[in-house]
Amino acid sequence: MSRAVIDPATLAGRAIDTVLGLVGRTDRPAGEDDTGSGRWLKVTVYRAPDDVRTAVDGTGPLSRMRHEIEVTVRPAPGDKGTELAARPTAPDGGSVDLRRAIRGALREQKSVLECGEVVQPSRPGSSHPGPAGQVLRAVTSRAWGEGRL
Amino acid sequence: MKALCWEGVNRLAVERVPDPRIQNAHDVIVKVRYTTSCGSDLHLLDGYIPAMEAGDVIGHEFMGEVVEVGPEVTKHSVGDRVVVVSFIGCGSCWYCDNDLWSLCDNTNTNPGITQGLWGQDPGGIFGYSHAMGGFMGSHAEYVRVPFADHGAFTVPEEVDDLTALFASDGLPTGWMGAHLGGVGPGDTVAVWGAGGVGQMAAHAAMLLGAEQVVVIDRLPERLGMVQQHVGAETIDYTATDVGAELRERTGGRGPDVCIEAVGQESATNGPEYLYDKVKQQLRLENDRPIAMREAVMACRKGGSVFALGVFAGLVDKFPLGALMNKGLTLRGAQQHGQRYLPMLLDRLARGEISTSHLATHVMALDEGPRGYDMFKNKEDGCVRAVFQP
Ligand SMILES: [Zn+2]
Ligand SMILES: [Zn+2]
Repeated sequence: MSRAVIDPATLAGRAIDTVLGLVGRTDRPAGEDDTGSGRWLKVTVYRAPDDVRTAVDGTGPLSRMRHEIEVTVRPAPGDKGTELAARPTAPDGGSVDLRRAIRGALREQKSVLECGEVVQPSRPGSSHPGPAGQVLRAVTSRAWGEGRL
Repeated sequence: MKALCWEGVNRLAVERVPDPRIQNAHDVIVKVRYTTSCGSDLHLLDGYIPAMEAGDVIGHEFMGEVVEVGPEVTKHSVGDRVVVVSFIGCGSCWYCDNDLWSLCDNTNTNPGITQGLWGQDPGGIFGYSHAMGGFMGSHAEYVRVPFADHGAFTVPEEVDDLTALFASDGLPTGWMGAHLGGVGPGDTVAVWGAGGVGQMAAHAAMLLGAEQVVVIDRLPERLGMVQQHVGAETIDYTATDVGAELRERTGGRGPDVCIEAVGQESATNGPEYLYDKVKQQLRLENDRPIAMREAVMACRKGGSVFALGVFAGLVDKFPLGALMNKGLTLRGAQQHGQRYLPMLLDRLARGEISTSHLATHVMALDEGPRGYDMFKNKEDGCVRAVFQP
């Protein structure tokens, strides 16, 4: 059986490198590559377009940034539900924080429409996450706004 | 409460942690009666799955009693004896609706990490790092179960606790490998790995009508279990050439369905073990795919290979040419247990499948670190170390 010996700091470094290397792409200034300006961020919601439209027009999480974004709603092919898309209206594609907020709001809206709530990770977490765990926490605390959306 | 926590690579400790509470309306709290170690935990222990914090409670296969119920839970009430599927499915996304429960869209609270690694994020799982949802595990006195109406199943009276325990993961995972691997009447099936999942996959293949099932491992006590409790043939890979043996036993064709139930820390007595191990430790590959390579090479033309063991990332020297030129179907999945549990609990109640023999070492949760040592080093014939909180 394997006896890999990796000290926790190396492990943390690797975890965070992996994480940042992958999700960090979204941190680039808008316009630097094609993940930035103009691209729509989308989720497919397993609900009818009318239900999605009603939620988005109401008091859903996207409504909080209504004056900064545009939103489209259209049926997904193959009975997969409804494609909900949003992007900043600013010509420069909006700030990294705004795009992060849009990702988070899209995921929250999808989860609320599909499940009625957003599932929480276990809290409180560990009382002694250690240095590696602290760095990981910094990453996971904003993971909802990162990723490939 | 008391819980078994990950403290670092190859370091576990029993600690006092806060009791879990209802955090979402669809949660229940389960008082754990039995919770088992699983081969996939060894990848956490060995440090191959990053995104762990010191103090995280591990464990994902468990059964127990419902002691608290969230306001939106309709199927369960306090006192229910339940077994809980290790993957968490919301029950209302497209994936859950299509019985692909471990791919649930709504249960990974940190989707960014696995989206980066794999392109998309699968669902969450208990006690399996913050990359897989950040849910505290089951090696504890109590565990919070999100979306309990879908993931917790009432255990029939005829099924005892220890038998029910393995319906959490080992049994449905094995069943799924045989089912989605396409096993049908008359098939010849080979299973790499005689751990809990491999044994259950072999048994499932037989119940799905396979005429010949062969299980490959090196540990005599596990191969003995396969003969005694599953009734399948066995091959000790340290004593023979597996490919040649399989050709001989299958009329030169090779198995119709090959199920890989070993995963990323696969071993062999050949030189490629050292090659893969070195590359893995130098981080030049994440996973050692030794059994997977062998399965692809052994499989009959036009057959199917199912990846049931846990892999995390990139592998080296994968025989893609064999896959393409032999017209193979390759498929893999984490378990879609919610799909199979009602049927499997019926079969357990009728005594068609035996699972409790996997619990070779049952001990108090306080013994958790020692139990994992035994399990990891396969001491004393340990197949699964099972804990009673
Ligand atoms: Zn497991
Ligand atoms: Zn779901």
